[in-house]
Formats: sequence, structure tokens, C-alpha cells
Amino acid sequence: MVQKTLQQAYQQAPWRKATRKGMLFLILALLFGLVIWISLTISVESAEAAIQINRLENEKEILQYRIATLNTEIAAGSSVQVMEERAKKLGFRPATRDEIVYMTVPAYPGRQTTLAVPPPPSSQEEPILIKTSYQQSLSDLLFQGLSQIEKIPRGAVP
Amino acid sequence: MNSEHSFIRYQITGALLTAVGLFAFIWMIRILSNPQAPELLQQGENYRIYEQTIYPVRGNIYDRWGNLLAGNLETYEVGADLRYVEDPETIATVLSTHLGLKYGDILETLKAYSTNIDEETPRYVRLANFVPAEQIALLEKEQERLEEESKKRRLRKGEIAPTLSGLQWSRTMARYYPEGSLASNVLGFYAYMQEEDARGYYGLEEKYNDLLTGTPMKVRWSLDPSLVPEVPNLPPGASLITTIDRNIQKMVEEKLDDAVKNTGSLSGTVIIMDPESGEILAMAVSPRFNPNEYWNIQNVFGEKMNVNRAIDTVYEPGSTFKPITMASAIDAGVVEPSTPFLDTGVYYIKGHAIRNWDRGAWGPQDMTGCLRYSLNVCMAWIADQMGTTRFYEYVNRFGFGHLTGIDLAGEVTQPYFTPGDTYWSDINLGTNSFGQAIAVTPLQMITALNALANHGKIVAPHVVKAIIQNNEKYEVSTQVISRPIKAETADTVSQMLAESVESESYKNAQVPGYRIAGKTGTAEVYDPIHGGYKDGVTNASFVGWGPVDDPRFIVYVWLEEPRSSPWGSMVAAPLFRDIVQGLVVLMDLPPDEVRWQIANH
Repeated sequence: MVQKTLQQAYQQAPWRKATRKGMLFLILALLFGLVIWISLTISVESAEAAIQINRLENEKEILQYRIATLNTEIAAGSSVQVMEERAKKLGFRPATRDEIVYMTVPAYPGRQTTLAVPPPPSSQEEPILIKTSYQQSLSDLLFQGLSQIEKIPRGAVP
Repeated sequence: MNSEHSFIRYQITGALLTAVGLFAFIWMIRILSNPQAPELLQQGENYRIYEQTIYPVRGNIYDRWGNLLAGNLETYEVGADLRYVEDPETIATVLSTHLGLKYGDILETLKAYSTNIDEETPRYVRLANFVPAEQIALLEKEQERLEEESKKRRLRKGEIAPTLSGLQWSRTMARYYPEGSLASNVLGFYAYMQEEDARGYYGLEEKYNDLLTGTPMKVRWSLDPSLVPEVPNLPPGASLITTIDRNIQKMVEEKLDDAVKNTGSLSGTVIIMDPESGEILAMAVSPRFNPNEYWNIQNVFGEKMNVNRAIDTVYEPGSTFKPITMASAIDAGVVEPSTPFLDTGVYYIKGHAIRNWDRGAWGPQDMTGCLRYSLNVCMAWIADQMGTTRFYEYVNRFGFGHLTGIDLAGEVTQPYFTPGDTYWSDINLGTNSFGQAIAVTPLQMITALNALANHGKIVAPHVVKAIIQNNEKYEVSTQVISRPIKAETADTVSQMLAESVESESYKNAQVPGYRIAGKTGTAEVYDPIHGGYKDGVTNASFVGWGPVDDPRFIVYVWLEEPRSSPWGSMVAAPLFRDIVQGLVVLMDLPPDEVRWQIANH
């Protein structure tokens, strides 16, 4: 009986109650902090990733421009006029018909097109790498349903 | 008692929170169901997102072997962000030194805006556009040098170190033609300086403008960096592989330029086509423009702007039309090669006299002789024998009066008069038979005459061999447009013309080692101002194909109003010979005997 009374008194002690409340507040505060921290971390990481993507996209564009420019510069450097002048400087001259010897080369397919085909562009069917859900904010996610409801015509079955 | 109170407090707090939540939820529904909601949402979107149109890189144009004829070059737009311009004098000095801009103009622009900044003042002004990358490299060096100097220098109070702060440059693309004026009549040009309204003009650039441009895409970018942007991978515009052989084109252009200069012609045109496929191997005109400086095009062509005379200018072809008349008559069974004809020097059609080019009488001839000596009288007789209905039916079958449908912008045609038309008279039958009073383009002529080289088939002439789109290659196939005459007729006329070329009269067109079929043309030139034909002025032409037993090329030459000699055999035939001599080397075409030896081996 005495033990029971003591136990009850211990449980009902004011400092005991205050500690319990304090602990509860601390846990809640910690949980809240954790949520904020996770949210901030995700936001920062996604922002960083977005900036990184932008930077890479810009770099890709610059490289594409550069490739196009270099190809054009190569073409300018190997244009008929330039090649002719270079050949003349090296002591070459156009062959006359009398100097040409024709011969049969078995299985020779003839002159072929040597075309540097442009780099493969993406097609419209290319899978989208970034899911739509990754582009939504929390409010988008919460109120997306509501906006959808508005769009459903009356009497329609969703 | 306390726990009871606590419980009630919790209940009240819970109820209040629920009520607030519910209220917010209902309020949100109310907002979203408001008629203004979509508009307001859109406004919100506009603050959050901006739209940008991305233009793909314009497709390239290649020759048949993959050599680049039209490509793109990185250039820059140079401008100033006025918010950050501190030293307009230095900017003006640097730009005038390295870009050749006027110092005063730049300074005026920068100061005008900088001193009066308000809401409406642009934050950015463009100072130069399409600046080459090399000049931008100089600006970068200058910028680095000034930065280094300002670090070293001790500034007095209020003093500003020379700086290019506020000066910016951004990338743009310009069209570039690495071969310069080569085949510019076929390529046309892309007016990139028109920026938003840039498009292709003339030739392939205009005809295939949409394909080369590709599909611009509107992209929505979020201003919120945490939202990962989905960047579309924009495919470049389609590229074209042409049928043009740049080496043949170069050779032809050189020889044509020389011929125009040496003969004092107003202009010159040469077309080389593969008789079987209709592929244009070369299409040269003189004069030409440089598409890299397309803004000077009017200095070359003046008001008329006949950029590609092969397709955009009609003229009376003269005697190169005679093989058409002969082929029609043989095909219709009116004559055959051995049919005799007594040339008395004049033939009357309903009272109208037709005479020969030399006003002479050539006595007894057969049909081969009529072609060899290019007898107008004989041709008029043949056309008269055929009758107007049959003659014009054949002219129509050969495609005259119709566009050839070549894949180049700017092709023209001129209808010819037929019985029943106001301007047609009986003499037209006679004059039409030898290529006068009928206007054609050189391309129409080569397309029609090609039926003789190609066993009676007219094939569609074309300049594009393949299209590369989304990394897939689409080949352009040969299209047979019509069969105006029987294969035997074509082969017969081809042999007759080969015999003509072997004669002394055609020695200027002969190419040793190769059997060629051909025909000269000397046509009087119509004077649109005074009416009638100009005195002593002609258009000289030559058409020829070979080797006759297996034609691999057909060449059409037109020299406009040559001064050195009026005759096609004297000015156009030598040019044809020179071109074919170069052509057989570039096409790896052995002389006939060697070819037969190889074939029999």
C-alpha cells in the first residue's frame, strides 16, 4: 500500500510532469527541425542539380556551335580553291587524258560518299529522364487534385 | 477534474484547428472555382515561368561526295548592359580598334542611355552583330589586360580604372559558304542578318528553307532554380546532299568564265546532267555572286536579279531545237533518216518564206544532212509534213511550256503559242521547228533533249540526292516523267547527231577518243523594246552527250550574245569540247576503245 502511494506520488510530482512535457516539446521540436532540414537539403540539392543541368546544357550548346564552326572551317580549309593552290605549290598539275592509264580493279566499288553525318539528334520519342513529380513543388502536389476536380465536367465520371 | 479540463481544452483546440483547415480547404475550392481563377493562375505562371523559342542549327548542304557547300559559323553579338557600364570611353576605344566601329557612334549610344536611366530606358543596347570569333578573342584579351592593369594600379579617390565592365557578347550563328561563289546559283543564300525573319533566298536555300531550318521549339523555363528544368534536345535542321560534284562544278565555272570573257558574251550558262538519273552534276552560270556577301547581290545582277539563268531566264534556243523536230517526225513516221530532201534555199508555209541560216540552197540532202548542216528550210518542211496538231502535240510531250519541277526555287516557263492563240500565225510552225519564236530555259532544253540520250525517256532533273533528317538518310529516286518518243527513235536521232559531230562542220565540238552526239544552236535575239529581232546579235548554244553507245553525261551550253562570233559552232562548241575533255577525266570515263577493251576483257 505504502509502495503504491509512493509510486503515485512520484508519478504526480510536478518536476516529473514538467520533464515529461519538456521532453515531448523537445521531441516535437526535433521532428520539426528534421523535417525542415530534410526539406531544405532536398531543395538545395535540386537547385544545385538544376544549375548544374543548365550549365551542362549551355556547355553542350557551345560545343555544338563549336563543332559546326570547326566543320565549316575544315571545309573552308579544304575547299577546291585552297586544295588546288596547295597542290600547285607542291608541284602537282592536272593530268591530261593521254597520261591516264585505265585499269580494272576487281570488286572496287567506285568512289564513295565520305560524309561526316551530323551527330545523332534526339528524337521526339526519346524517354523523358526527369519525372514530372520531381518538378512539382509541395503546393503543386497538394493542390493538383483540386485543380483536377475543377476540370472535370459536371456529370462526368472521373 | 484537471484531466477532464485538459481533455476539453484539447477538444476545443482540435476542433478549432480542424475548422481552420476545413475553412482553408473550402476557401481554396472557392478560389479555384472562381471564373477569374484560370486567368490569375496564368498570371502567376507568367511570374514564375518564361517562354523562349529555341531555333535549331540550320542544316548543312553537301556536294555528292560529302564536301560541305553551306555550313554554319559561330559569330557573336556585342552589346552593353548599361547598368554596369562605368567607362564608356574605354569601351568605345576598344570596339573601334578591334571591331572597326566608329568611336563617336559608340560613345554617343552609351552616354545617351547612361545619363538618362529610367523605367523605359533599355538595360541593354546592341553595339555590333555577327562579329567573328577571332575578334571576340581580341576583346577577351583586352579585357584581361585591363583587369590585370587595374589590379596593379593604385587609384586616387574618385578615379575609375579603364574597364570594359558592362560590355557583353553572346553567341549567334551565321551562314557560311566555304567554297565562296562556287555553285552559288544552285545554293542561293541564307539572309541570316535578318535575324528573326531570316530565311533562304534562291536555289536550295529557298526551296528547302523549312527543312533546313528545322522545327523551332517553345520552351518554358522556371525562374525557380529548385525546379529542375526539362531541356529539350532540339534536333538540327535537315541536311541536304546534292547531286553536284564540286570538282566538275569548279572546272565548268572556270571554263565558262573564260569563255564569257573571251567571247564578250553578256552571260553564260552550262548544265551537266546524268542522262539516266536526271542528277545535275554541275549547273554553272557566269556572272555569279558570293553568298558570303549576299548583300552585294544586286551589284552583280542589277534590277533583273536573274541569279540562275539555267532556270530563271527564257530565250529562243535556235537550232538546238532541231533534234526535237526531227525526233518527233521520225517517231510519227513522217520521215526516216534516209528520206531525201531537196533544199532550194527557201520553203513557203502559207505564203511565208523560210530561209536557211546562210540564205543558201544546200541541194539534195537526207535527214542526217539536214541536221548536220542545220537547215531551217528542211525543218520547216518536216514540221509542215507533220501538220500543226501533231507537231505541237510532240512539243507538248517533250515538256515545253511546262516547268521541269526541278528542286530549286525560281524556275520559270513561258507558254508557247499554238493554233488558235491570238499571237500564233502560220509562220510559227516553220520558225518553231528550228527553235525560233519559242522561249525556253536551258534546263527545259536539256531535259527535253535528254530523252534522245536516254532511250526516249524524260527523267525529272534534280539537284538533291539525299536528305539527312534525324540521322536518317532519305534517298531521292529517279523519276521518269514521260516517254515522248520510242526508244528506237531516240537511238536513231542520237546516231544521226553523232554522225553530224564526226563531220568537218563540227570539228570544234569533237573530243578525240569519245563518240559524241551533239547539235549547235545559233538563235536570233528578240528585241522587246523595238519588236522584231536585233541585228547581228545572237544566242549561241550547244548540246551534246556521250559516249553515244552508253551516255554518261549530257551537256548544255548557252552563251548570251557573244561578240567574238555569232555562231554556236564557233563559240559554244569549243566550250563544250573543253568542258567534256575535263569532264571525262573527272568522271573517270575512259576513251571508247579502252572502255570496250575493258568490257570485253
